[in-house]
Amino acid sequence: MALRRFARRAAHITETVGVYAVLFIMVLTVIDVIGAKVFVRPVRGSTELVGFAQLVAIAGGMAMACFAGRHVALEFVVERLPQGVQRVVQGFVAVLGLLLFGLLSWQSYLYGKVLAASGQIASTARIPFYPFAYALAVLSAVTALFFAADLGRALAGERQEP
Amino acid sequence: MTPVEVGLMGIAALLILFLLRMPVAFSLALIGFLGFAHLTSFQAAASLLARDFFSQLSSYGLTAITMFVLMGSYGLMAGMGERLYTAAHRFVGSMPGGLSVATVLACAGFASISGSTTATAATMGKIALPEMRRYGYNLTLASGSVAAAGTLGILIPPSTVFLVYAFLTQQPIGALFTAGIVPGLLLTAMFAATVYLLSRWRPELAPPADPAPWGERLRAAAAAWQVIALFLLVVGGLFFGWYSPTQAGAIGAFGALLVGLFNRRITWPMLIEGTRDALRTSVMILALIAGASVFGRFMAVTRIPFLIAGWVEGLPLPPSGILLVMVLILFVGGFFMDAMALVTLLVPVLFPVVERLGFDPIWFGVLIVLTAEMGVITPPVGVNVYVIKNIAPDIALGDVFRGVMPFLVPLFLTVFLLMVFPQLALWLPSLGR
Repeated sequence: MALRRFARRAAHITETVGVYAVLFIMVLTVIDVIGAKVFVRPVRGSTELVGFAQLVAIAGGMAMACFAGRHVALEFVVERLPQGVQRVVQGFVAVLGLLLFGLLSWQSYLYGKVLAASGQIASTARIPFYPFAYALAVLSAVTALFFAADLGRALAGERQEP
Repeated sequence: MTPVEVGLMGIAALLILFLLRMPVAFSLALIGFLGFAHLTSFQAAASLLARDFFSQLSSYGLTAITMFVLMGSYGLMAGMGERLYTAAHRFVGSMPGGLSVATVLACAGFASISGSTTATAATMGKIALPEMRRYGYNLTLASGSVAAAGTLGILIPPSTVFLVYAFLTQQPIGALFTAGIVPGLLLTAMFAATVYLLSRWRPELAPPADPAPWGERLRAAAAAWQVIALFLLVVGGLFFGWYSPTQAGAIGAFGALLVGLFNRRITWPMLIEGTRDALRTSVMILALIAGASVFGRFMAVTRIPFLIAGWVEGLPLPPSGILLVMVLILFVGGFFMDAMALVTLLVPVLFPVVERLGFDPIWFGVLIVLTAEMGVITPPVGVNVYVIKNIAPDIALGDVFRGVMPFLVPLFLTVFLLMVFPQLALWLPSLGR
């Protein structure tokens, strides 16, 4: 339960960061449009900034979307199975999710190192790529935490949410 | 094992994971990774996984999805759904089945600011169902009409399914959005006609509401001006090429936010919660796209999509027959899968066939959306039906499913008309070229 509480708290924090990233995208884009159309001065590098902000928003919201059961999944088969079998299935899926997001986190970190070493920067915004690869690594680790907590629930014999 | 055999095993494993309730997006990414690793190397596949997620999630083109979802969320908070329903209620409420007809019209109106079937059905369900109960409407008809009319959310622009289709097939989003307008209005009219005919046939299903005086009708219509203004600003701007899809979505979201502030409906905590809700929907859609991208790389190595395209092309059927088979596949797939998942999964496989047969990709996009609409109201995975059941727990799930069945007729009819008269979809975009 402690792991689940920690994972949920971490997911809430990263999602809140994501919420502000979404608001940033909206405001920046509106300023860019008004700047370009009215003052003939668009915001320099706005498309790249918007892209990076979206990465933070979506990766940041991934774990909480899992907690909230917002990802598309086929419910109608497993829910007809006996409780014991459901728990086994839940544990198996949690292991797969943990492996997937653990791998994504690790590989994003390595990708960040490659980007940092190459000194690659966004051509207009002039900001480096690598911090966003590292951000993807950290945020994917939070989603991996969700699956670790879910595995704990399955092992403890608790039912899946929602 | 040959790459094709590995690919087929991958597809089988994917279906098993779906049945085990693993989220579709993560199943796609995992099997895509494992299959690619088997055919190339672990290192290549692992690196591809990170790079694909990085490039898809930071794609500027995909921010349009997030912005249009945000626009729908703010539009909902701004009270636009209520204003639309009140206006439609005042005008048509007193005719046979009037409140259900009003629901259909209000759903069409709300679809012009929301790109989601579930958001449209949920918004209108909360407003319209209590009103229909008050007038003694048959709950099967009442719930069925909301669930079915909610599907207009992805046909009348903006539409999240059009946005994903545009991204997957590199089609212009402005043309796709405008292509959905005429079929959307046609389907709205046919949904309304279905309610009207059912109510004429069995008047006890839908007793007429009290007629509203003309002054009240005009006041209610005037109150709905905000929706029209926002729609014209966003879709008009896209149609005339004033701004990119992301910019259109951001302007729409900002406009809806301003309307909400003007209507004194949005506070700071509500703004954060509305944005949070929009983010969760966007996460669901973008995770599907990122997962489908990884899976697509695996499929490309196996060459299965190209082989399928070649096989389908070689079938002893005319192009229209092949098209019918594809529509059937989408229709049957819709029984088991959410519209967005179905589109991300099947469009990359079917689109090469469409291109080879020379069908218009914009027109095919509208066909895809129409078949996806059927999927959201047919059992067992009729997501709109579950939305309505959630709003009105006392209505049996079977009753809601029975209630939507008559509305499949106009959906099939629209698909048929669109196949016979492609201009229904292509005329409006042709004006903008």
